[in-house]
Amino acid sequence: MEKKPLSLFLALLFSVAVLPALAQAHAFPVRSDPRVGWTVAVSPPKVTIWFDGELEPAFSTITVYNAAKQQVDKHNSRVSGSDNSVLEVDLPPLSAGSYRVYWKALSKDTHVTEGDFAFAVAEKAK
Amino acid sequence: MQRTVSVVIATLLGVLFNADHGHAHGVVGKRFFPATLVVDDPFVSDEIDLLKVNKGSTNQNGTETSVGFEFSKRLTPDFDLSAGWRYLFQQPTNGPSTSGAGNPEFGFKYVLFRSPEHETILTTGFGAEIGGIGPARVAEKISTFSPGFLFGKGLGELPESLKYLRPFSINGQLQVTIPSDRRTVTTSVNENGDIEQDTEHHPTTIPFGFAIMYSIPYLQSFVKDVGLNAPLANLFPIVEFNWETPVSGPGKKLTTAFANPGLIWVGRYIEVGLEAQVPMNKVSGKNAGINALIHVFIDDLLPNIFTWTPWGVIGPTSAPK
Repeated sequence: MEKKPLSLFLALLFSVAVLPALAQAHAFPVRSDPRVGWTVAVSPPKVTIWFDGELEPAFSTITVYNAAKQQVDKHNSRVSGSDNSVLEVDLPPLSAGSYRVYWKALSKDTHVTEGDFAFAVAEKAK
Repeated sequence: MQRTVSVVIATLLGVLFNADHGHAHGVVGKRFFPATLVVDDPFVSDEIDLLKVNKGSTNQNGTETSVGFEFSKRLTPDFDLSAGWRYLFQQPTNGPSTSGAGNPEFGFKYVLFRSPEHETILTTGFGAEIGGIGPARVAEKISTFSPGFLFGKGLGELPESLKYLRPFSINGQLQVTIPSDRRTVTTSVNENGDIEQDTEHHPTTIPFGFAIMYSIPYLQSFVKDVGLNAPLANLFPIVEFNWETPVSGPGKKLTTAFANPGLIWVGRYIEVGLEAQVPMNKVSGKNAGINALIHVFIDDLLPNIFTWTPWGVIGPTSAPK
């Protein structure tokens, strides 16, 4: 009598463990380059964010602004061709200062997540 | 004309059931709120508390342990229904141990206000425990009805100088629990053949509480990447505080109060939480209890099935136009 609820519970747990391979969800960032809140020594060629799930390319964007709130990226925000969970945008050579990255990610099942973070480019050593 | 009406209706339905798709489970703006173990969270959702365990503190009445589940289902992006059930194990101070199914619990929640930019949400809710369904040895004969309010607020707006406090959030609830009967009288015949009447009072109570948590994912994604990897990167250290104050009947001053420190870990489709339940006064108990939760985001797991409603799929399967 006691075995039935246990079996049912184990079956449900098994389902939860196995079914994720078939499913989709919100896309949350896992890491980025430049790293969130860090100061880099040289201007990075691009901003890259790795997410924990595949993104819908047409509706996932990334932009970069300087401290004067001017957009400084190359307006070529894109989901990486080689990895659908990576969002990136190219940057021109940036001067020293602080910058803010704004991103919006649409997961394959159309859950939207969005956010922003800062990074800085260090003054060049003289 | 008919075509115009169709377009308007389709647009309205689209706005109602599709445009708001980003609000499944606990996301408001940049903030993700995991389901809390003691205090009810303010989000409407398609989710299952697959296993919810409470090993209560031992108080003057004894010890009660419950093992249960709860299923909640959205009917619109702002409204959900829920149903739950618990199996109870009771060890009375004076008497033999017993166990059995408790009464079923039903409820709904409706989101009154949501501000993504302020990471704020306000919800109203209603819960009901239907009395007399579970066996009398463990379950109440009376029903209770609990209207209330729930809120959530992230601290993401704090200034740069306090940026390491931005991952903090608070969510809470304030309810009134109203019994269907103020007292129940049990009549029995004792061993001497005398008739005895036992009166049990059922007070109106005010349960309230709040949860304070620190989101490591928020810290690493929006404030500073401190280099934590999974599983540490998915943790939410948390303390929940909850009180229940009777406002009628003879036990009017017997407020129970608990602090519940613990950890919540959130994966892509599942959340696991574990807390100690520490009594904060003598009425509440004399030793620590345990709260545990396995919670599944079924709307993410199988969106086409679990976000279905009679009016359409809330979590749409096509990109917004």
